[in-house]
Amino acid sequence: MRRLTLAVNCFSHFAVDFCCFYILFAADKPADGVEFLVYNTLAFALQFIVGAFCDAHRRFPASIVGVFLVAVALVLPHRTFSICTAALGNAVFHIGGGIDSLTDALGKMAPVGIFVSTGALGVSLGTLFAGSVYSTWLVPAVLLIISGVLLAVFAMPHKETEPPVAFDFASPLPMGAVIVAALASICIRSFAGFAAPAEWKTGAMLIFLASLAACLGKALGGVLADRFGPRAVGIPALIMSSVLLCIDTPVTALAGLLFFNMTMAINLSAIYSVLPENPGLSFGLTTLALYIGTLPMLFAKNGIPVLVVAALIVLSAALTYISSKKGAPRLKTGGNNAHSA
Amino acid sequence: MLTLLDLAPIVPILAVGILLLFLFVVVPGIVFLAVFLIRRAVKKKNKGE
Repeated sequence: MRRLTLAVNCFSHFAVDFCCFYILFAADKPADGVEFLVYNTLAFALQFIVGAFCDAHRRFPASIVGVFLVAVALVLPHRTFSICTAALGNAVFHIGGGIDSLTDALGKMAPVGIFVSTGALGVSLGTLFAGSVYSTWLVPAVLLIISGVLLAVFAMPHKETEPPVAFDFASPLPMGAVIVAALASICIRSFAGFAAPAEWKTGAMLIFLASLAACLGKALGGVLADRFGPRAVGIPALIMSSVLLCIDTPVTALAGLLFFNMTMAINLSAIYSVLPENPGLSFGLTTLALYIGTLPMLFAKNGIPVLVVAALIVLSAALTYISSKKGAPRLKTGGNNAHSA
Repeated sequence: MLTLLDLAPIVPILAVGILLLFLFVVVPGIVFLAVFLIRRAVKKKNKGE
């Protein structure tokens, strides 16, 4: 049942991101800079508020509400309202799916890594579809209807009969230090990701392959970190990506993207490990850090030197080292975190 | 990637003004709220323990 819920959330994540980017890039003119800024602010910067609300109201069906809002955005005639509604729907859905993936994970990182992975595919395919000759609102509409039905059947918030298994991915440092280091790592990585050379990304196929690499990286990061421990996976992955991403050829950059994205689930799991009562807030804080990391690019007219990008990725690796646990996690099965699955 | 200079031609002064207001009022406000919620969550957890 847990796997089915995860599969439904993954498909819905793909569908929601596909529709949001269809809305942004469809119509006669694609979204301009201001519309993108508004979209990103509503969709990423405010997720932690939705997360805090959902933490306090565990039975709020955030995933379904998110899908519903994106569906409303698809039919709204006014473009700005449509973009704002889609962004809000995106934020609400992500929190719903994120909470499910964290609380139903049985103490493992893999589910949340797999959940966040499919968004990258939705973003690229939604963008490419919106600009294609086959572009029609029917495809996103059908995707949303299927998502809504699947979520209603398989992923409705259930009454908690047993507390979730605690995550054990944070370093033994004080809680505040773990949270700050993990968020700073995400923030720096977000900036470095935007600043990395991207001249190689030409044509639809390479854009799709880039999203596929990001998707695989996010999913693999969680799976491998469960097996070998967050530090053993996250640090080498980031250091390898710091070299590969700065070599501006498709093959190296795609490999770099795969490694670069492996740490997303690791940082999120470190935060959730110290805030086990707040899965929604934990998830939302990571997207806020991602968002803040993109803001300096508003002023970067002439690009960032590749050596600076590489140094920033190494700094992000150092912060991941500080915030995450050494060795593979041990499932905590005593006290309040007992689980009888 | 969007830059400040790209935004300027839309409505020169207004656009830059809104952007600066956004960067120096809205974003710090959001960060302040995030810090408040983190502190509250940490306090709650410490109380629980």
